[in-house]
Amino acid sequence: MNFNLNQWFAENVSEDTLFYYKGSVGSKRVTDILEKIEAIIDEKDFPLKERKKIVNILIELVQNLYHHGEKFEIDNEFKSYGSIIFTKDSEGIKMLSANFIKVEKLKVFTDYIDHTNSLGPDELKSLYRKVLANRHFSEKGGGGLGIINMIRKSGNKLKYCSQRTEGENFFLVLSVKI
Amino acid sequence: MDTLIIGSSSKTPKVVFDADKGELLLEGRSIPENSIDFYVPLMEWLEVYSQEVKTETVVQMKLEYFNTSSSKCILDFFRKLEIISKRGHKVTVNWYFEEDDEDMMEAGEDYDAIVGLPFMMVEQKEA
Repeated sequence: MNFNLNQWFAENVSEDTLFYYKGSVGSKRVTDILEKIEAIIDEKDFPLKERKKIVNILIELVQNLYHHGEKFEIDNEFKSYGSIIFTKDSEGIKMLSANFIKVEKLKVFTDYIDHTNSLGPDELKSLYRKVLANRHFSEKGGGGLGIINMIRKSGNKLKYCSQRTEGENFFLVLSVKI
Repeated sequence: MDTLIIGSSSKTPKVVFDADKGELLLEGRSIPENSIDFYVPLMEWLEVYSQEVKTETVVQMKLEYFNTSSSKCILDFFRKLEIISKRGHKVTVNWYFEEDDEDMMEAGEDYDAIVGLPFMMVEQKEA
C-alpha cells in the first residue's frame, strides 16, 4: 500500500491532541511551534517537573526536524518537512515527531536507538557523559546526545516506526511517552 | 576589560560577564538551532579574560532549558574555565535549578563529573 501522509496524520491526531503541526520546519517555525506548545502547557497548568520534561523533549524533537528532516514535495515545491503531535490522554503524555529520512541514514539511526533503548539508567548516564566529553559533533548533529537525553528524561524507551515512501525516502516516526 | 552584556531572547540566555568582579552569569534558555554562533563571542571574551584574571571567578549558571547543541558549547566554556583554574586562579560554578527539576540538577552533576571545577548545586524554591 502506498504511503499517504494525510492519512497517517489523521490517524494520529485525536480529540486528546493538544497541539499538532505538519509542514516545513525553518528556524522561525521552530520558535513558533515551541512558543505555542509552551502557551498550551501554561494554560493546562502542568506541574513543573512534567512541564520541564515535556518542553525539553519537544525542543529535541522539533530541532531534530529542523536539522535532519529531508525535503518533501508539498504543493509542487520541495521543502524540509516535519510533523509534531503532542497528546495527553488517560495513558499519559505522548509526543510524536515524523520526518522523511534517506534509506542509507535510517538503519544507522534506528540501530543507535535500539542500542540506547537497551541501556539502564546508570549506563545511560555513563554514555551521555562519555558522548558529551569525548565525541566531536557538529552544529547539525549531536552525536546521538539528543536520543540519550530523550530516553533519560522521559524514563521510557524511545519508540519508532518507519514506512517506505515513493523514491528513496522513508517516513520515520519517533514516539516519546512520559 | 569591558563587561560583556547580551540581553536574553526566546532562544538565548542573558549574559553578563564582569571581569572586575570576576562574576560570569548565564541566565535563561539556551536553545538556538546553531549554538556555536551564539557562544563564539562568549569564548572570545573568556580567552581575553583568561590572560588577565585578577580575582576569584564565580560562574552563575541559571539556565532554564538548554538543547543538545548548547550542551557541547557549555562544556567548552567550562573547559576554558578549567584552564584558568589550573593556572592557580580560583573558579567556582554555582549551578542553579528549580525545586523538583531533577533533570537540570542531573545536568549540573554531569558537568561536575566531566570538568575539574568545583560545582555548587543550588536549588531554588518557587517564590
